[in-house]
Amino acid sequence: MPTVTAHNVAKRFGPKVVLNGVDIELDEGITGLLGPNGAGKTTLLRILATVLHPDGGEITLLGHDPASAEGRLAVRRQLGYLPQEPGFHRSFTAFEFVDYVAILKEWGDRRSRHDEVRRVLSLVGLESVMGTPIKKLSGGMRRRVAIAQALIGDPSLLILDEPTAGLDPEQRLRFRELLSALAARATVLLSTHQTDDVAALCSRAVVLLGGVVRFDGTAPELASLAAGRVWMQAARDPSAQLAWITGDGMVRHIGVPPTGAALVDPTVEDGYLTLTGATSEAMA
Amino acid sequence: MTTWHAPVDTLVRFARSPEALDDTTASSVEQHLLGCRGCRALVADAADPIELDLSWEQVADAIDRPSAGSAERLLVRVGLAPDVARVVGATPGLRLAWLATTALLAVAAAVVAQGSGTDAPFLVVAPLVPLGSVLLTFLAIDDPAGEAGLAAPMHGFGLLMRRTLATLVPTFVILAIASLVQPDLTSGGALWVLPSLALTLGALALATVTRITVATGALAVTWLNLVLALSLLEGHRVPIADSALFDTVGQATALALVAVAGAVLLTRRNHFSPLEAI
Repeated sequence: MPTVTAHNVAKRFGPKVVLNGVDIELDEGITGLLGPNGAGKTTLLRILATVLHPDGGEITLLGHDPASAEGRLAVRRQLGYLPQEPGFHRSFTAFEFVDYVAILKEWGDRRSRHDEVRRVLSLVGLESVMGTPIKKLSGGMRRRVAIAQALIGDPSLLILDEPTAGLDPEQRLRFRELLSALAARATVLLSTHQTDDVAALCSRAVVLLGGVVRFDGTAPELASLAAGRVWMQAARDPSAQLAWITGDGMVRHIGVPPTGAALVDPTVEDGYLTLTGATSEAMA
Repeated sequence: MTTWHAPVDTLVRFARSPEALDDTTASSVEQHLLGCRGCRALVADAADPIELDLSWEQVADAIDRPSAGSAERLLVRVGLAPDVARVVGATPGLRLAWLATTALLAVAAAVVAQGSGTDAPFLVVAPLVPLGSVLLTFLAIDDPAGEAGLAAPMHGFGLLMRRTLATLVPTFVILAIASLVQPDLTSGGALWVLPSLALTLGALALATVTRITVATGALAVTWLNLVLALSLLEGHRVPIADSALFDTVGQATALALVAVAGAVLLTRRNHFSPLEAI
């Protein structure tokens, strides 16, 4: 039985329709949510994190209905949520911030709460700066503080909005390691613009476009959408949908290949770009 | 360099039950340990590892314990659990700014009332002040945990109401003190209370169906229009304390509105959406 189901979820802000009948089912493991800016990713995550009410549709999270107060409370007790903009109080130290969230997560006993705060800060490699005010931390460190608060209590459902934004390559690898360990016993939904994160980490990828789910499958299946449509050559082909110069000086193309083109294996990024229909003109 | 070493049994006692040593011996051993690696090793071996871990935990706990602000300490004093006091007492800067503004408004209304020899300025302004408190509490929903806090189990209607109450109580106390300097204490002293409660609860009840800015704004405008309409209808023949807004019927109406708004608030509390309230 899926741990998360969302059926026909709709949300609008004024006249703007942000989600238009989203259907999604999640199991334990990591699912990557991809989509361009404005596709509705953050709105969907906010709804699944119980901070926003949908205008329509049915949602079940960990067997509970978040529309009821009791269901919402039950979900929140097993939920870790990393918003896109944590917006934390910058005069707090890293420890104080995570401790504050732990209180909101009903960790009443001070001793065990402080142990848990130290544990999650250690998980993200911040044990040496626990007492440092957040305003003195780098952007990457602040992101890790925000990730730490989401890990309090080993949640069964982890919703992460662009968790790797601002992390350096080493931190991203450490984060992948941490998340893959959690995924064995939790449902993780993360939104990202990093298709390589999806390829490396996610057992499943969902692409949201214009408020609807346009793809739902594995990362290799997403990559395969561009099968036979990616080729390399020395000069730019103006007929290609997308073309860019790679590090070795060759031009990578996506589109309908000319006869005799040197086709290459598509990546998740190629599949995603094929799906979204991004063009060189649109991205210029 | 000394060749003296503390006796082994003294070191063991120092490690396991330092309180059993007299102050002079404990100080001597402590001083000696600073310079003697061999004796330090002996003490380390003799210490109970469980006790040692516990000591370190206590030290770490004391170092890590966040410092409590004045609002938080006050809330603990009035009986809130320390963890609840911490989240209720969040954003003290905003609360302090609002309390200062409230005090200024109340004093200004009282001074104008004194100068004009009528309760009108205070009775008109006082019910609007708690509305400002409600608005500010909701705007301060962006608390130290930001959006992450909104998805936490403690967050929700209950916490918001506790925070609102924590702001409203001092607001009402300040207004009550200001009302003591009204020209006609017998007639105007407490007349502001029920209309204030009606407007406050009304705004909270409306916040379950619309944005708090709309709810407080609509009620503030309604209140001012009522005052204006009554003063136009009744002219200046009747002192405001005796007008339809504050006479027995007016007070009974306010009481009924308090009951209705309270019931609506309780019934619709699950319809409240923190992210869409402001």
